[in-house]
Amino acid sequence: MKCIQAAGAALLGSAVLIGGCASAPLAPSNEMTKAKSAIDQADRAGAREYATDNLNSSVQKMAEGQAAAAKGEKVQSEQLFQESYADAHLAQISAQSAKSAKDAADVDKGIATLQNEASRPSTP
Amino acid sequence: MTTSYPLKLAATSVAAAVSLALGACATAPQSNPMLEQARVAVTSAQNNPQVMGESKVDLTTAQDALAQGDALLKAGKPVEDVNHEAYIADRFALAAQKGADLETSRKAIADANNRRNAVLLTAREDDAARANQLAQTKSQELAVALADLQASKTDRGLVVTLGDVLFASGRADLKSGSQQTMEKLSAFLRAYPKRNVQIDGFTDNVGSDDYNQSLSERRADSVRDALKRMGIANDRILTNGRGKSSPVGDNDTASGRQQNRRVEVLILDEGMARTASSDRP
Repeated sequence: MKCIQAAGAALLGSAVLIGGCASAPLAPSNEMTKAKSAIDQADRAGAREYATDNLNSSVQKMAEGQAAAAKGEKVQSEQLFQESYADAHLAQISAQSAKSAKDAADVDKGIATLQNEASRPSTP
Repeated sequence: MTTSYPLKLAATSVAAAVSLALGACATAPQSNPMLEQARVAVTSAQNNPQVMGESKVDLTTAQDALAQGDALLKAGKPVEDVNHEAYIADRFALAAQKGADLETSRKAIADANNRRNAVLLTAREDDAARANQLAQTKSQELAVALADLQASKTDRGLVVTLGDVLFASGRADLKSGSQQTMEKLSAFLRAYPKRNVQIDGFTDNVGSDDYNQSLSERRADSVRDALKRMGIANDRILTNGRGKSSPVGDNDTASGRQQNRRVEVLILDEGMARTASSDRP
């Protein structure tokens, strides 16, 4: 009987030690909300088209984080939400950057056309 | 001794569990591939001079995560936690780079817009210069044409005076000597189809009013008919008989009376209808 109690105490002790290794957990709803909002922003920025991989990874991490949270794996779920956020943030900026580069090229093309037209004298 | 055995066993298992738990931390590798990959990304972003402003915030986040990952690794914390920090560092380092790219293209767009405006402005200026050139040329051509017609500027506008010498005395038909002037006038009206004419006939004070009125009308009509024969449309010409009114010379002298016997062709401004509104006030 004492043996079992002692073994139980040992397990508890090791659990505490393992827990000490992991980073301090944050409020779950906060991290998840932040990541979800970032996914929305990335989507609006055109990440589906311009940063597909990053957006997919973000959504995947969000799902994994929610699954982990459902299993009570708080630390892991928080990390996954943070990673989901990082992916979404990258997806948003990548999409904005890609779109902006495309716009810049379009404007350049427009100017070339304009210059061609302008150099042609209009008939009086 | 036998009673103490289970306790000993318990103590041993506690020690084992503790050492197992500690071992998991202590035996973590001192090098982590994900952390090294993140370090490359962070270094690259650090070395990008375009990383500034908002991108700098992302770079700082990446640097902090990298430092955290290093600390966790050094402290022998679980590889999952190190990998997590490495992941965050890597994503934010890339975001900083992309942010720098974004800023670069935004500047390029702004520059391009400025260049486009410059091109448009130049084009407009060129157009204006061409239009101005054209207007000047036209204006010069008109001036030459009017000078050729010997048109004089009066308060009523440009007037070509057909003197008495172009009409036989007491007659309304044009002498052959008027041919050159009439040809110039008709050529002018063909060249400037938007300009209409008002033809006014005048006489001296010799003879009755009725006679002079009638003579002035017939002389004006005579000029009109000549222009019509030269192909100028009737609806561009208005004629008036003004009799002995509005003398330009002294009716008491022969030369003054000669000046008064005349037909004036008033060249109306472009688009101006041949109405009596341009009558002498």
